[in-house]
Amino acid sequence: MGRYSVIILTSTNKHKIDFFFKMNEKNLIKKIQTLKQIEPEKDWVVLTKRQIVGFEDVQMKPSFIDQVLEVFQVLPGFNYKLALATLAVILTLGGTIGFSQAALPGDLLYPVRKFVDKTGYLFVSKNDQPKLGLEIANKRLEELTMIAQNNQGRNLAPAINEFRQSMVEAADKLKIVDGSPKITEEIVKETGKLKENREKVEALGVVVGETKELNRALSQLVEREIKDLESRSLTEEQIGILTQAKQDFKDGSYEKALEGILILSYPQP
Amino acid sequence: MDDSQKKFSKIYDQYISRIYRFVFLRVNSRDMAQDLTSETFTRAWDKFKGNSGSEVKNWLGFLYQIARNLVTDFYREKGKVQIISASYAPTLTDPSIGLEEKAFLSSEADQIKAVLSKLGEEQQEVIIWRYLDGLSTKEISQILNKSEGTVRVIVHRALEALRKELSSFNQ
Repeated sequence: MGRYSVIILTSTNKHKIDFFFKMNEKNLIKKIQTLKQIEPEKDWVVLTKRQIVGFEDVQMKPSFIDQVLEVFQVLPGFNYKLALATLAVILTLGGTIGFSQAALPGDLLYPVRKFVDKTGYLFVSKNDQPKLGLEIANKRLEELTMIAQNNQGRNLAPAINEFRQSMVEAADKLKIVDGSPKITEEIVKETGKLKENREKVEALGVVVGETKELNRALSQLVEREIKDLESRSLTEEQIGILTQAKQDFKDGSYEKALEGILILSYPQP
Repeated sequence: MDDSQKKFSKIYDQYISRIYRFVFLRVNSRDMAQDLTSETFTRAWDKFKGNSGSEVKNWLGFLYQIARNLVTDFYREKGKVQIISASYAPTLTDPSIGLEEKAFLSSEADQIKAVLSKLGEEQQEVIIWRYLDGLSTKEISQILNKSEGTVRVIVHRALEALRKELSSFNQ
């Protein structure tokens, strides 16, 4: 009986022995893998390749595209050709967009630049759209100034048209202004900039013509703000500012009138 | 650089380290490993130039085939005497290795290298391919031109032999 108790393995003992052997094997494989540190000398690798294949460029660095694709190779269902085609489309689009940023009205890539500018509306809140509209109008004026400075007669007419169109759009966006101080302040700032840019381009002998749409939109905005202020009780000093704003409004100096309104409606601390 | 050079260059970059390591572990000499590895790739390049490598489906297997043939030729030429690096001589010639020598081979890599060199040619190869290079049984069976079942047995026995050698080395 004593002999049997030595030979027969219970289920538990068998597991223990299996585990012992598995652990040993695991450790053994781990030890074998320490041999991975055996590496050929880099100089020898380079020299040998040069001798065998016969060219200088030995370490073939993966191209930028290969490096990018390598990142996506971990994704399930990765298809090299499809990924390459997608990357090519992205890079072409990216390159086109990049180049288009230097395009001027009348250039081949200018519509792309305009499109990129307009997509900006998709990424800003409704309240910020008037500001963006005025910023785009300012951009168009800057382009016009550049064309005038470089004497690019061919691009002049398209640039004026682009500016006018941008003013119509900016005016349209101004209609949605809710009268918050931040937005009014930004409108004042951008309108001031617009005035400066316009003066610059007109100084170069370019007549951009009337911008009725924007004037109308600004006029409506100022009128609305003045009416609102008139319904409030104001100090004598404030009444003076409001009177001046009304006068500016009558004179068509809407930007000046807005500055006064801003002081009254949203006094600085 | 023409297209075939570019293609072969990629194969070279991909496999040079593995082939060198395989040869080095088989001959235990850096200089010989460099010579034989260089010869391996020279022969592969000749083959590649000949038919643009289109006939070769498994380059790693093909390179291992050349390398192992070269190693075999090398030992045959040397009168079947395996060249052993001087650092391992005591462990192989004198079983009652001294403490100093043991300390010399203290690192795991050195130990396993010394012990591996005691195994038979085929056992060394399968250990390297299976556990160092991560080749599947199928891939090894293609290189050795043996059935997968046979390869499994060889790998198992090689690992056992290595375990035994390692255990007697540490005693």
